[in-house]
Parts: sequence; structure tokens; C-alpha cells
Amino acid sequence: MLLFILRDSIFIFGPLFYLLTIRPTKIKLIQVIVLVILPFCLLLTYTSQLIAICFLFITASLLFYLFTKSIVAFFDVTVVLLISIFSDNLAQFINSQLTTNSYILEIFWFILCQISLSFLYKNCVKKKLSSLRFPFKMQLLLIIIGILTLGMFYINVFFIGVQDNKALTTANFFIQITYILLIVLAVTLLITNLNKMQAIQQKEVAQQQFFEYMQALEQVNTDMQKFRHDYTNILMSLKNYIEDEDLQGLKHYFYSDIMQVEKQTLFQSKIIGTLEKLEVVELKGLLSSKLLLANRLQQRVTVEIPHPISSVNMNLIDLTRVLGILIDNAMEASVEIADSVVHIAVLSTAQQSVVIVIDNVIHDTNINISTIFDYQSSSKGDGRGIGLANVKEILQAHANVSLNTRIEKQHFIQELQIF
Amino acid sequence: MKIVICEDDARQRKFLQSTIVHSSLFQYDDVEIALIASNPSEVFTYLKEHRANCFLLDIELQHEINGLELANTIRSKDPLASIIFITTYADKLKLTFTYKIAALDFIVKNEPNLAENLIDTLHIAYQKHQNIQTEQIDKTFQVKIGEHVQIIPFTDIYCFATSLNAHKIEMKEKNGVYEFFSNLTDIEQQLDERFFRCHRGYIINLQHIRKIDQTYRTITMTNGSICHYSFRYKKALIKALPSTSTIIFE
Repeated sequence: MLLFILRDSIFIFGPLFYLLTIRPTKIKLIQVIVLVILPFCLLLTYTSQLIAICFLFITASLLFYLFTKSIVAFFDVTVVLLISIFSDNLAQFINSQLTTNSYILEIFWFILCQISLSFLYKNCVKKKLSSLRFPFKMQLLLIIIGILTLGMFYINVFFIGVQDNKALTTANFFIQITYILLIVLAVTLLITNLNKMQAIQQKEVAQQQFFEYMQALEQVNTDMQKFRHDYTNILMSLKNYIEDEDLQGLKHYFYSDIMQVEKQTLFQSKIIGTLEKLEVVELKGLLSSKLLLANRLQQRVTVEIPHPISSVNMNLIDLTRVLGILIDNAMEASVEIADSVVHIAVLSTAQQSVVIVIDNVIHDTNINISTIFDYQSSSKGDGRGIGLANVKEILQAHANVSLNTRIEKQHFIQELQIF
Repeated sequence: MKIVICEDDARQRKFLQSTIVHSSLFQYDDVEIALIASNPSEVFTYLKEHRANCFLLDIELQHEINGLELANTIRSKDPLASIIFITTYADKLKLTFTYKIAALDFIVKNEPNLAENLIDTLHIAYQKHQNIQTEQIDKTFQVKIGEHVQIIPFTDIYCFATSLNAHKIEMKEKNGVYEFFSNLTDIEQQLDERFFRCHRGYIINLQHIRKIDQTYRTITMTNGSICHYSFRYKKALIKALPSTSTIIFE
């Protein structure tokens, strides 16, 4: 009995620490023993096995949720329990097939299965899933599927009856294998669908950005037409001034009327001009909408794209989100400072990477850069500092993207390098 | 430090020359104006046989080779030379020049404090030149972004940490946070005795430790960053701590 509990504790909690990459410190081990394993033993001795196992599942999930602060803990606890039940059955199956029927050998098979399955789960399944973003509903669904599966397995173990029967063990094993395969199939389908959904979302964002770019183009076009419409009138007025040889009047008319009105038109066509070499539609849309916004806020923004940029090696939803936040921050900081300019550059490097630089002036250079990416940190009051924390979270999923943030001579400079 | 000037406007050329000659910078024995050119070809001819450390270039040269191309050629010959641009338009392609050819600075012609800006920038160039000469550059860590090399003195660095993403290293220093692709073992080789590898995932600057927490095995740096240390490095860590420091133990 004691051996059984010891074995189970090691092979449930060991893989859990491993799967969730938690360091098993003394404190955490003591917490696990006192809060989960000891009460589990008591329940197992004094009440039914079912209650004890339910208790084990709930407390283990909660404790590991507290350790990691991530909903993944629930899923991993379920998976570990599933793996251990499955390994147990597999061990029994192999043992019954080999007819040696030694208990030590069974434990050996169990350990082998448990370790290899945990390893497979961590290095194949978890690695693959970590790059996907699961909506909350999907996470909940996966956890429910996991828990139901767990329930099925236990019912399978407890209600079918004595396991010594060789035929029954075999049947049991095959039922479980079929069930697992079906579940794996279902989850794979679910994930394929999720992938498709995210691809569609990406297209939608691209379309939205493209739409904004089109709007900017249209605006320029309208202004140009207006200019052409006024063209004859302007020429007539100019002619009158010239014929009267009224140089002062001409000067005044030219600078205060024509130039003022056309400045706006020229500015907007300049925006479109600067983005000419950027061939990534999503980025073009994002930058043109930010430039139009800057124009409304009367904030000077320069954009440098000296060489053609045809592609960027990064998920464009993530890239536009990150850039949107960074540019918004730069503009927000600059609007408060008179005569300030936000510089933006999209550059290709000799190493085939793309560097995006955002440079703005700041007054307060005493910011602790090491902490501005934390969730609670914001110089602008509550709830407004989430931007940079989000940036960090998004970028963590991209192994080929780096972000540098620095302050230099009253300039706040952010460099995003995409390899 | 050998200075080369390339400017097509004669008046501007004269102004640059006299500003430099009459500045505090010119007291140093090793500062000299090596060439005053009116077009890029003169610079090319000069560079065939000589070398220089600091180039003052007009971006808007009225010549078939513009300032950008000239700078590119100079950069390909000498990656360490300081290139300073002089321009009529403020901010024109400022970032492009910084990140594509690692320009040291930009000086705007029509600003009232032009002379002052020029001398300040030349002082920075001189400092850089001195550092290269005396190999002070060894006491710095360099991060390359495009062609721009950010030079960070060891004294300013708090720590290096591996990011959640393997191969990505995060470095925190006084004025910024940097990410780059490398590994801590390689980085360790480039550092000096101020730094200590206290964990598989951390290298810390021993001179910036504020607090060591022995229950949770964490180290709080003076900027508030928290690093971990592993048990097996503890003895070596305590031994390596500078004796004069005021570190709090908990």
C-alpha cells in the first residue's frame, strides 16, 4: 500500500514539475507533500478510492496553478494522470503478455512508459502547441475534454472490476487505446481548425490595413481633384496680380492662400510617397493610418524607407500589433512636447534582416528601462501601461525577433530587428 | 586623429576648417586636418594611399557620387572610422544613415549653434578614437543593429539573462534593454572579472548587486531586476563579491 502511494506520488508529481518546468525547491516539495499527498493517503485509508482520487486531482491542479499562474497547469495535471493510468494499464498488459508476472518487472514497464510518454508530451505536443494562441473558450474545452477522458479512464478502471483477469486487462487496454486515438484525432482536428481560423483573422487584419491605405489614397486623390478644379481660378488671379505688377499682393496671395491650402494636399501625398517602397500591404496600411492620425494631431512624423521592403519574416498580425503600440506610445509622448518629431524607419540590412526603428524625444530621462515592460509599470497612470507588457508577451513567441529599447541624449529609441 | 572634410561650398568649407582649428580640440597633439576636399573624388584619391579616423561629409554634395555613397565606400574600407554628416535639412534620413552606415552624428547647417554642435560631436569622435587606440574598447560590450554598433561600457551593465526563448539573450544596462542571439557561455568569454555566471541562465555584474535573498536564491540588482543563482555557485558567488560593497543578505 505504502509502496503504491510512494510510486504514484513520485510518478505524478515528478512529471508535473518536469512538464511545467518548475524548480522543485524544498518549499514546493513540502507544500505538495503536506497539502496533497498526506490528505490523499488519509482519504484513501478512511474513505473510498474515488473520493481520494478526485481530491488528488483538484488539489494538485490548484497547487500547480498557483505555482505557475497559468491555466496550462490544469491541463497538464489531467494529462499526467492520464499518462500514469495509461502507463499502468500498458505495464499490466505487457506483463500479462510476457507471463512472467513479476511485480518488479511491472513497475519497470510502468516507469519506462511514464517517462517516455511525459518526454514525448513535453517535447512534441507542448512545443507545437506553445506557438499557437488558444482563445479562452478553446482552452476551457480542452480542459473539459481532458477531465472527461480522465473520468472515463477511472470508471473504466473501477467499475469494470478485478484486474487480475488477463482477458479483461487486454480488453481494457484496447478500449483505452481506441479512446486515446479518437481523442487525439478530435484534438488534432480542433487545432487544424484553429490554425485556419487564425489564418483568416490574419487576412482580415491585412484587409483592414489595406482599406485604411486605400482611404488615404482616396483622400489624396480628392484633394488633387479639388486642386485641379481651382487651378484655372488660381491662374486667373495670378494673371491679374502680374498684369497689375502688384508684387506685394502676389506674394501675399501666393503664400497665405495658395501655399496654406496646398500644404495639406502636399503633405498627404507625401505620406503616400514615403510609403512607396514598402511592399508589405499590412505595414503600409498601418503606417499610413498612423501618419494620417499624426497629421490630425499636428504631430510631425518622418518615415524613412530608403530601400524596397518586400517581405518581413514575422506573423503580420503580431507585427502590426507591436508596431501599433510602439508608434502610439511615441506619438503620445511627443504630442506633449513642442516641435518634437517622431522618426520611424523601416530598413533592410546586409544580413537580410529588417530593422524597424522608432525614435522620439522625451523629457524625463530618469525612466528605469528595466521595468517599463512590467504589467504594473506605467508612467501614465493606471491601466495605460499594458501596451509595453503586451509587446513583450507577443514578442516572446517569436524566436527570430529582438527588441532593443534605450535612452540616448533625450531620445527614446526602440529597435525591432526581424531576422 | 586625422580629420577629412568633404564639402562643396567654399564658404562652408572655410567655416568648418576655422571652427576646428580654433576649437579646444585642436590643443591635442594628435588631432590634425588631413584633407579638405571639395568633391568625393579627392577623398577617394586620398584614401588610396592614406587613412583617416574622422570624416565630415556634406550629404547634399553636388556631384555624381553623393554623400551616402561616399560614406559607404569609406565604411567598407574602415569599419571603425567616425563619419559625421553635415546637412541643410534637419532629420533628413537620419535613421537610415545611423543604421545603414553607422554615422556617428548629424549636424544641421542652418542652426545657430552649429559650431558648438560640431565641436561636441568631434569630441565624441576623438573619445572614440582614443578608446580604439588605448584598447579601451575591450572594456565594452557591443550590440550590432543593422550596421550601427551600440557600445556599452561594462560598468553600465547589470545583467545578462537567457530569455524564455532559447538562444535569445536579454541584457539590461543603465540606459536600455537589449536582446540579441547568442549564448551565455560565449558572452562570458567576452567579459571581465566584474561579471559572474551565477546560474545556468544568468550572468550578473557583481558591482551592481543590491540584495541577495538566500531563501528564494535570488539576487536583486541596483536597477530592481531580479536574477536567480543556483546552489552550486553560491560559495563561489560569496567569494567573488567585492569586499567594499554594501550588499544586503536576507
